[in-house]
Amino acid sequence: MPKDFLRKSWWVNFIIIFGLLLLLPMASPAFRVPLYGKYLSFAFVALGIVLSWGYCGILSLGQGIFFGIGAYALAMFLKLEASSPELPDFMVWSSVEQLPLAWLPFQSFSFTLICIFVMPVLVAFPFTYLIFKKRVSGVYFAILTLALSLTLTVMIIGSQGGTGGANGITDFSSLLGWDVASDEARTRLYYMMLGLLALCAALVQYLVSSRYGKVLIAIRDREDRVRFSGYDTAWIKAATLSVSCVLASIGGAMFVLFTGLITPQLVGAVASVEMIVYAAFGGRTSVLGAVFAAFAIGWLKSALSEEFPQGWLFFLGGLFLLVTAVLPQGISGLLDYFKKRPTVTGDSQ
Amino acid sequence: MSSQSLLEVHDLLVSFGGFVAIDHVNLSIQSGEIRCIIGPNGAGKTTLLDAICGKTPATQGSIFFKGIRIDSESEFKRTRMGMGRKFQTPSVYDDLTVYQNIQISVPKGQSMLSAIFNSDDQFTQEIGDVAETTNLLTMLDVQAGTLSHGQKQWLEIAMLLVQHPQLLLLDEPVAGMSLKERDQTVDLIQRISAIQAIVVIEHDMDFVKKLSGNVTVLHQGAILCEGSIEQIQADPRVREVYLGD
Repeated sequence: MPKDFLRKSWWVNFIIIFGLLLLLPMASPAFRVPLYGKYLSFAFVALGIVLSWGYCGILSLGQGIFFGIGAYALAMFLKLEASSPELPDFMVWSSVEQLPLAWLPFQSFSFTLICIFVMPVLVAFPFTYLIFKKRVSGVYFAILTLALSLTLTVMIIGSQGGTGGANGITDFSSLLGWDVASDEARTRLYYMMLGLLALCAALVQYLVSSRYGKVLIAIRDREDRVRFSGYDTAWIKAATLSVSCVLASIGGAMFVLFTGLITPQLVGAVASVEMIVYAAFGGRTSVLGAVFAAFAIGWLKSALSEEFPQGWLFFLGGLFLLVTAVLPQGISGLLDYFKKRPTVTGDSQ
Repeated sequence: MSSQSLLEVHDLLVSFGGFVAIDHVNLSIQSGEIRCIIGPNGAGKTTLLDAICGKTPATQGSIFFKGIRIDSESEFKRTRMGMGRKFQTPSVYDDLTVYQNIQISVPKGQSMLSAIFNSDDQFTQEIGDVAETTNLLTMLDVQAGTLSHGQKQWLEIAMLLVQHPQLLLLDEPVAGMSLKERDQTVDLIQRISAIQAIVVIEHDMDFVKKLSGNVTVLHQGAILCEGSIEQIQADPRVREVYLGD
């Protein structure tokens, strides 16, 4: 086991954060629980971004694409379950008469699960491997992924009959015959998700503590040198980004479970940038910071949008400016500063 | 192509959008040899190393390493074949410790599965050995970013040595070093040259003399002359290039 992974202070923080999240449903009204679930579904995405951006230095502004893969896959399955044996309602409205070919496999739950976990790799790995092989990186890679997520949004909106268009897919409530819209089911789902999130957080922490994590830091700081140490950095970067994309996809599926809908806006450029903000706010090299930030920003977003429906985006922009200008290591960097403990893997900037 | 040479550069041409940086160069390095490459600024010394190690593609010509043609292989494959490159400005990973810097350079650790699943105490013995060779044994837990310039140069050499390369390409290894550090570096290079061939780029003639290897003089991308340091210093063409008469 890597030494950094067994560090006591990390596990103490881990227990505090997940302990509080565990107690949360007992201390709040039942209608809040799915909201908490929704905030935490973004924590999966933020975990992935810590790995790929915080450690490996790949800034992908297309994580919404992979969030969308997981979300749409599960939503398609749930929608088919809700409407069968009829066609989903939005297809009827667009006078689609037969279930589109792409929808057929989503009648199977196991296919849907495989799709959530494997599809992101199939999409991300070959594509990004070629890009990294061509030495496209940094801001160019960010622009490329941003453009892709924009394109995807436009495509989804454009194919009304197959995807529900701008309205997305909604109006479903049962998963394999289980009514997931009830308060009791959602509380149970919340605990299941919390378990999965804790597992994913520990997994990412393990990865970044291992020697592989050191290689990622080396790639982030001096990719040229790493190539001359005999590593195929394009392969490592593509693989790391793929893991990050799987986490985003899991997050998307969770989002659908708790909100009962998915729309193209959540796949788009703005959503993708928001996901980066979560990781930046928590501290881009801090695994637990990402979980905390996703929850805290989600909660703030709800609270603020109830008060100032128009002002939320200014807050988001302001937060990003604040973090970039004075808190390059986010919340976790701030805590470290007060504890006077130097970060092990912090940036030199 | 002679089969006994470790490195054989044949009729190499490197041009950047019409500007010829390396002009039909032939070079042959034997196992265990120390070769110094000197020349005025802009002579193409660094570009020559870049082309050999794969940082810059060759426009024309061929490069053979251990009898295998490598000029279209990627950098990491050339490294795995046994070639190590030290850059002019020391390239170490500032955020990692000296120990970690050397550790991730160990070739056996390059498999990602091993990097994920093996304990991080792997290769302690090997890392200790090269740290001792490069005078860094007491610095293992220090962050590389806080090392002095000279120590960073040694660390980068340590990162190469742990790969046991058969050919080391060193670009100005004593740049920015104190006199004492220079002497220690000469000593270091002579010790390691018992095992591997070394190509050194250097401006400092004293340093080149102390290394007592063969010297190749580059001028405007082409080889001006080759020989021992005494022969080179006696050559009127070299004086002309350096002194500009």
